Amino acid sequence: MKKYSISILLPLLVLMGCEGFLDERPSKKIIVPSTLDDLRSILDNTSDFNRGINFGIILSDDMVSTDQGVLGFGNDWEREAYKWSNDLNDANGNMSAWNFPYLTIFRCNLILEIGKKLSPDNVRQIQELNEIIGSAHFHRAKSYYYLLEFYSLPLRNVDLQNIEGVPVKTDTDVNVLAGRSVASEVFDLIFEDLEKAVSLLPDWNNNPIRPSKASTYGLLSKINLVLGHYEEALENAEMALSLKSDLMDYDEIASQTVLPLPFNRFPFASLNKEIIYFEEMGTNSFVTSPLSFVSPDLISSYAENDLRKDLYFSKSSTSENYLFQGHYTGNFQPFSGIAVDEIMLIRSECLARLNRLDEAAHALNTLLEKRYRKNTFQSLAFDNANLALQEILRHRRKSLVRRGFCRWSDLKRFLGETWWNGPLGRTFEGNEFSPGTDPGAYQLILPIAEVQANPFID
Amino acid sequence: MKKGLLTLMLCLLSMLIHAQEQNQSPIRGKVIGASDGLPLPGAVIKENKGQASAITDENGNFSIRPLSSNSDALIISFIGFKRKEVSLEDLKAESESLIRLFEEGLSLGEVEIFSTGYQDIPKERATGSFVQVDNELINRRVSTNLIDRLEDVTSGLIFNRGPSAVNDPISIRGRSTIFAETQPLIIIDNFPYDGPLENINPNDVESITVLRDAAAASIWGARSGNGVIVIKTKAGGFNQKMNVTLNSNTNFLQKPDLMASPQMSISDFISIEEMLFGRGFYNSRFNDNVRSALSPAVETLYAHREGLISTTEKDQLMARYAQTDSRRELLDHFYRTAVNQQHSLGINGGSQYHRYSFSVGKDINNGPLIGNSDQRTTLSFNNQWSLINDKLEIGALLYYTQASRYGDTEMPILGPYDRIFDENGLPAQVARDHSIRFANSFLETDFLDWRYFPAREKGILSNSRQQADTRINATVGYKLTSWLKAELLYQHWKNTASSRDYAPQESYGTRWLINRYTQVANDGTLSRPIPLGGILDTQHSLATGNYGRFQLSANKNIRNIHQIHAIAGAEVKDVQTVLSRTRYYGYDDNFGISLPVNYDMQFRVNPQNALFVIPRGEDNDGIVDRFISYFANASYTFDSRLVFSASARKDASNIFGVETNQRAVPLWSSGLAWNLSEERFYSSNLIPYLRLRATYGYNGNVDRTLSAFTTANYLIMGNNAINPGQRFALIRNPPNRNLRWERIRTVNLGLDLSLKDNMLDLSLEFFAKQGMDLIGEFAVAPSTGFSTFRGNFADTKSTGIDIILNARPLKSRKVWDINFLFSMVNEEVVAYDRPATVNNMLFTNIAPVVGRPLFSMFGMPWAGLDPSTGDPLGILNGEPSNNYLAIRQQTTPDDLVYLGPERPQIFGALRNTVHIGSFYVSANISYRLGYFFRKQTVDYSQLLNGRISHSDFHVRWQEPGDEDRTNVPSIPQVSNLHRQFLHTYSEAFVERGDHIRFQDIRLGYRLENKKSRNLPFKSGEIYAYANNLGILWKASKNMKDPDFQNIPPIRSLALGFRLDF
Repeated sequence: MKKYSISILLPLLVLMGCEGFLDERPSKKIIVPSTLDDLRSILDNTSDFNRGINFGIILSDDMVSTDQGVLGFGNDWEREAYKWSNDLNDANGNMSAWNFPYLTIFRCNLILEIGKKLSPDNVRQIQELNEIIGSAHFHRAKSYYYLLEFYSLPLRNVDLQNIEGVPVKTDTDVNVLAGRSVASEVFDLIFEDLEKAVSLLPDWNNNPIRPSKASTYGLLSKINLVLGHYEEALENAEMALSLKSDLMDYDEIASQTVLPLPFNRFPFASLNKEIIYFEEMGTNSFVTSPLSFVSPDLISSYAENDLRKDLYFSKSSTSENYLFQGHYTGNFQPFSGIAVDEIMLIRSECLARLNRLDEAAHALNTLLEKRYRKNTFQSLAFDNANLALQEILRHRRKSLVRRGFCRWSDLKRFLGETWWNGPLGRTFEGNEFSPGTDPGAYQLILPIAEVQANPFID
Repeated sequence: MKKGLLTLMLCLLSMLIHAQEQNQSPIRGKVIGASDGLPLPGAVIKENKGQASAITDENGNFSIRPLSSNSDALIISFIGFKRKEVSLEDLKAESESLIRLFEEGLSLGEVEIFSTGYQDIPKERATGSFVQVDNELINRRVSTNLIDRLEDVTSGLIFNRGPSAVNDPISIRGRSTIFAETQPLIIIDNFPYDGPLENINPNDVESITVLRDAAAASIWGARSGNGVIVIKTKAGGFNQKMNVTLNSNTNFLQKPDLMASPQMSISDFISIEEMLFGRGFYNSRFNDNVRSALSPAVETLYAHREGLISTTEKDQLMARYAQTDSRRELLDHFYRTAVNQQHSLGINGGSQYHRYSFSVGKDINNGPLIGNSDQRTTLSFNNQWSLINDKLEIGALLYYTQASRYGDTEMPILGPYDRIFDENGLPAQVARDHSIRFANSFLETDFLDWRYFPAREKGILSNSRQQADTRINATVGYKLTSWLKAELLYQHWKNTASSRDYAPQESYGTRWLINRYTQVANDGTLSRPIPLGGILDTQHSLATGNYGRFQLSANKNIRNIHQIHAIAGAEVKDVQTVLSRTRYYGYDDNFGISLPVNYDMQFRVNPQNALFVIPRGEDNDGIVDRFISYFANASYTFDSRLVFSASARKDASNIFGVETNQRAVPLWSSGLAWNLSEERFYSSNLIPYLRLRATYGYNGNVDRTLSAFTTANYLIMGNNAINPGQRFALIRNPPNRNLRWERIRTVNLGLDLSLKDNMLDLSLEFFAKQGMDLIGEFAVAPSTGFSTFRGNFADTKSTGIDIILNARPLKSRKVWDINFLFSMVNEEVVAYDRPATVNNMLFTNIAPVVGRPLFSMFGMPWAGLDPSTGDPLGILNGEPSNNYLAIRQQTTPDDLVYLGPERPQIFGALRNTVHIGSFYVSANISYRLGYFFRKQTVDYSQLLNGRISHSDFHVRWQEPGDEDRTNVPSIPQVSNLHRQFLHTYSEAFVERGDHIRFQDIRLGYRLENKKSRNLPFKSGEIYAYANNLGILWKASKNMKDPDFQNIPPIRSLALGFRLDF
């Protein structure tokens, strides 16, 4: 028996010694993210991070369709959205306006958790880590802002502590759920995140796909505008413009484009120099349908030599209406990021509201110069704050057609202004629909899938 | 003094013996087991009328001198084997006689030995729940694949049907898990098999043992939670004459009955299209950005509206469309009767020291789709040597499979009434991807043809897939002592597969892709980023597996009263797979040349002018699967009456992202068996064999895809992303710090008995399984960032009974055999710690309701149809209501109506075999009872969006009074998702699935080369086998076949013969 014992034990010893044997990853492509490169690769998933929400297009008064166009929409919830219903649940009880931001928020939380544990070795790595952490803060703040724009009541001139917000998650534990926080709490997080982003991100890195100080200031100015904090919004806008203020010259572009704009032609380059932060929206049928027209009242508001009309719109072959094709994405997907023209308009609007009319006019003129045929634009001058504001807002609408959910955001924040009576309605099968001036009409109900699975929400 | 006395006694004794010896010479012999030819040490030899006795040594040899002159026979006995009496006359004639003992249980050549993959356990020693499927039963059904042969003949094993069966085709004793590995573990020749099961030729299989409970399966550890199927290939037999078997059959399978699928009539669908057209539903599609394809009716109506055709022409065309059904077109032009041929030749036998089995098999299947076929060639060579007096055993096995699949035709993509040939017999054009108007507008240009003619696509592709699978098995066993043996087993497995898909430029797909990327310059000249030529996609994979096991086994027989059998050892497994894919554009098959493309640039594609990169077909991937295990198994038998058994195992694997200390899981089981009929006090003649057994233990189950940490997948951005070609990491799952392995605790009680004369054999088992920490996928609140999440979420309990009954009512074995299988499984949820959602319960049928089966059918509460409008009515606040949004929002899981289990609670089969002379007929009837299914119904949302729907459309409510005869609501004016949800998931559309099915029938004629005949072969058989013969009884009146809602299972008829030389 003794002489056999070695031959029995030897193989067992060999086996026990191979601990590393079981450490091999089971699949080549799958990893547990843990390095700086991994975090950067997570952020490079532009489908998750550079994606906006297209609800705003159909929920605005910029878009109008025919009965047949509405009937032709691919989903029932699109028809509901056309009627400005609060319930935009799809067949499974989900809404992309809810799911996409939270998907991004999870990834940001993950990056922040992992980032905390990393200790970079050299200057380049420190910079990279800062940019990654800053990006995560930026995207998280942006996502919470998007959620509030759709699922909360209008936010201007109200006590935010009394406004229902959305659940706030800053961890990655799927087992931990939260009920709806009030809007003020959500904004606390948003501003905290954006402050951190400002301190960590580079000024402008020549890559509009990645967040920068410029895009963070841009986002801050948008948020403050919505809240009615015009001084802060002005400051943010000017900070952003100081870092990036290139404008495309529409006259130059018009000379290189076949006009009138044919169907399916996109005149702008995909990462053009005006973009501060690139984001695009997914397409549902209401976006791509050839019967989704631009509101005639908007079309008729453009002046003779205003090239925005020439480059944004294409006349429909089947009617007198126009289709929108001026996507800053240069592709069939609409653009929802931040561009210089929008920041300039915010600046101009804030200056007008703060009664600094000369500066307001100057700011607007800088933009409009690049929007009209060469040598046809006549500089504007303002002497009345109200008239100045109206003029600026008209140009705002003319510039920011189908730009993210800017118009939806505007419809919400205009409520309560003395000069605003609500948007023009739309008709469908003989009935008129309009959200009117009731703030409640501007808040979507939560998705059924969330309500069913979250015990903290009833 | 003492010494002297002893010597004297010895002398006397020897004189006595010598005296006897002078009367009789010793008789020598060897006792072996009849089934495997292996020697039986410790068998008792007694003379029938005297005192002499002997015991066989470790080689089964004995030598005995009969003491009494009255004795005329020897009685040889061994535990677990039938006593045998051999006449002295016969024995004396040989110099060394070979005596074969048959095992207890079924008589005459049918011995039940259960293979666990680690050892062979005779039925007597088994405490666990094993089912054996013998050679004859394996060969009863005609099929290319092995697993099909187990259907409806294996107790407790059910082939699942219905929508959830895609992930979970086979269950043994119900499902203990939801998502972790749902497949039973397959063991072939002692090692787990990781390759495709289609590579095993059923003709090479000697026996299949299914391990059903903890004792049986805990030997295999972490992957045995769903049961284990142990397959042994043929090995020949020691001391067996060479046997040659030739088996050949041809199986004809009817075309799938596409016309049986419950689709609404074409003419009614066209009427809907006309109505939608009138409303202007299609207006946004006639000239949209992608130039959508439209159905022929819609195009015709459009052409008429535009004044391009007259009203008479329009009416003629519309009438013709109503007469066409594309399913009939497919059946006539693309489907054929499939013919599967199977031929195999096996040669096996053995000498005293060596046994072998050699086989070669060829299967040629011409598939149901024209132009598609597959072939399989298998080659096996199995050798075992027993040397140095059976001390040294060496085994060498080679199993080689070569499989190929060819296809030259792709299933055409057709609308409900598209034709393949027009009225003149010429190929018809079908709208695909784009409208016919669009496709036809390029005829005068230099673009390739955009048009799609399915008839011209027949035979145009060249797709092939080749696979070579090799298994080399080597074993060495050495008996260190008479009772201790050391074994070393090693298997090397290699599987290489490569596929080659070539779509020439003439094929529609290639033309379309080239055209899509064609660029038109301002002056009209064309350039082609995807160059002219074919597209070739190739894929290669190589899987290599190394499996090693070292094992010590002890088999000790102490004075024939105590028997100990034990094994202990360790094993290691390392399987690595490497995969790569490539795509070649502009490929010229004549010269093997392809052209480069620019993958970095975004091109504006036709017709929508959107920016896309050229699709890449490249990929490389790898998988590593490693396991280290330690196991031990022991049984103790007392006086062949009581058996105690125990086994334990520890598994560790490289499962991903689990805390290191969670990688290994210990599992164990224990069992007890009582052979009542061996007891001295037991003396029943009616029941000569009676046995009780019980086991208790823990199995485990593992989900290899799951991780406690967040994992991400590295990919490359493609398509129309803003950063194509960029490497990125896609998050797969959130972290789950509480992730635990699933554990299943099983208690099994069994009773086996036989009536005298083998009139009846009964095996009755009761089992209770408790599944803990089961892993499943369930809905979570989207605010977590995910819609579904996989983790531990439920505890379940299942209890059941398995009965196997074999009866021979006409005393003699060979006239009428009845084989009855009955299984009953009762599953219920014990704990569920996730929120239940209505969506989850209705979409996945997974019921988180304590006390209900895990897979349950629920339905929305239904209040019938509104008598004036035919609208469906649900229940809101206790009252019938048509406020569909409120119903959808306010229905809670408690409001849902529970209808019953989704999986059969009772299932089994009844097989009758009747022998009349040389003829025999065997018919198998299977039954499934106690379950429900959701009947498909018309989907108005689909229909009102222009897609054809279910035939329930014809029985819908149309006028007041109809609510008494139908539950199908009226068609709404506008599509309403929440109304459709109530309709689809209403309790009114859930039906009983109970049915009895006439599964198959086998007829044959057997020939034995007996004394009178002079045949060139030893025995032969010609047979016919028909499968899927139809439903005999069903509970549901609204369904032709409860398990197959769309197309009935395919009927087949096979003819074949088998010859043994």
